[in-house]
Amino acid sequence: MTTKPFLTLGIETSCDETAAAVIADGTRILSNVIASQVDLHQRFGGVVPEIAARKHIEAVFPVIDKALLDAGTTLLDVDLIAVTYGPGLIGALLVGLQAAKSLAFALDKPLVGINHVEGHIYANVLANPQLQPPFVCLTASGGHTDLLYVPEFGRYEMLGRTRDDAAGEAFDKIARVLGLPYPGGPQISRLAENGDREAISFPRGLGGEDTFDFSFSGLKTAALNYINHARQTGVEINLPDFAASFQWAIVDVLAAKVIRAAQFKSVKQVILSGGVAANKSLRHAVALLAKPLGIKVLFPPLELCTDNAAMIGSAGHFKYLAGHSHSWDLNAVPNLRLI
Amino acid sequence: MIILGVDTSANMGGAAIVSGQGLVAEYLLRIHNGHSERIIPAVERVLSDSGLNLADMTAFAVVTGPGSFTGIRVGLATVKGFAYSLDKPIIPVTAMEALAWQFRGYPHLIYPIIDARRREVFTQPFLGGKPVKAALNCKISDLVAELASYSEPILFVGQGALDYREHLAQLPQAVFPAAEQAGLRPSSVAGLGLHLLQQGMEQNWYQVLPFYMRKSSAEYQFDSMERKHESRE
Repeated sequence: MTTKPFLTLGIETSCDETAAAVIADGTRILSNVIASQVDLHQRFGGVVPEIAARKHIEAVFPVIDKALLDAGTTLLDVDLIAVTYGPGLIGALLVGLQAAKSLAFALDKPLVGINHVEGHIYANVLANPQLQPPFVCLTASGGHTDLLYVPEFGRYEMLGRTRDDAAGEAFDKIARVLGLPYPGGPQISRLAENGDREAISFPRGLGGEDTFDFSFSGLKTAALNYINHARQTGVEINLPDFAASFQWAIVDVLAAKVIRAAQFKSVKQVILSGGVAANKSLRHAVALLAKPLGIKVLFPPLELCTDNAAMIGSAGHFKYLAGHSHSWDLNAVPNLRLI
Repeated sequence: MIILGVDTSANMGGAAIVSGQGLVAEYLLRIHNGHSERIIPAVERVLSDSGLNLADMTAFAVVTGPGSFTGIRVGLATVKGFAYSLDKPIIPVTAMEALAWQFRGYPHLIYPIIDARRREVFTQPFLGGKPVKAALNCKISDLVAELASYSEPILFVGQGALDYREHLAQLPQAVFPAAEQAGLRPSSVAGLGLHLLQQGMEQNWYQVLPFYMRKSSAEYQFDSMERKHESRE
């Protein structure tokens, strides 16, 4: 006789993806449904919070329904509901959170609220179920650039974070100025493949300094100045060179700091998560620095790098097993911190 | 038949249970930190105090708007979750319909007033329980000007009627309820829900949509830029 797996329904609506997933025993993805709103926000060149929230309320229950259907299960068989309650856009977060609370209340299921950044770490657990701490984790996306030390699951030490723009935000902003479609990160990355990363010398914010914090605003300003200067003087910008140099200015700093953090904490594993972890150049740069030091580099497959609910379900499973749960008065926390 | 009514579309909101015999329980609160953290505890309270379960409800009534965009979505997510989990119908009502229902004995015109910010309101006139016109979004000053020539009494209801009382009181025929009675009550939402359910006006969890009556400000700005652009061409 086989025992029934423990099923977690994960729900995620913190930004512009409406997502739901069913996870068995914390590590097995039975379904992973994502309704992206990218097309809706494209004409505005970025995520419009009210439009995101409006789309979430239309999409959230159909997405949950599909996740249960794809998993071949029903809400009655779900053992736990996990939902992102921050950080993120308040109006967007509230839709998923309220949906989760309502389902949990109606069927008397336990509820656990998950920090979105913590969720990204569990994308690596889904990809590598054998993963065990300690490790250093770099979470880089449109909203975050966090460098964490994880001595054990559920315990975090913040080594550094961005002091201004997130890494993904810098990508998106420069892409917008260049007239590239939103989201700009993958566009710049594609252009960069045929460019020379040494062509333009961009500043490395806090690069050489004795801190694990990041800063990308100086780079952004330098890149904007470069574009404006070229436009004023009528010089045509070599887009592949520009993209490669700009990307390298970010990747260089991210890769160096995550490896330096691993050495500082004497750990032999680093993990990458968040949308920017999908960047091939970053993966390559980190792997190159890690290899001679005997440090193992893990990153999730592309579909688990960007926002998804599978990682929220996985994080929820382990949080719940560790004795955490929330009640019906859980509120969304747009600037929720991990520590 | 027994209905759970939910309203989180304005500052004042809560939950109520209404059956064929009338009001069973009601919880109404002026919230300070958003409805999300209060509404399910409010539902839990009215159910447990009346010895009922969510599964005992025949249907769920909810205000779909107009009002706070976020509040509308919190209410919808709440009842959609209930309806989806328990396979029960939803009865969507607008804030104007529910307010007109609350004051349905009044023999003259009723104007429910919902604050739309920027000195604008959402409103819709009702007479004898029926809407006289479609819902509209207008400046409070335009509404007062339009009603100046009307000589019959007009009852202004809803929290918005209190917020804009100074403007509306310029009309000599204006009538106001007592301040603490003016706002929408969840029991009116549930009561109207029961009435509509008896007429078969129910929807499924996937059919119910918000009634914002307004685009997001980003869309307004974008559309006006497009119009300027087109007129230049």
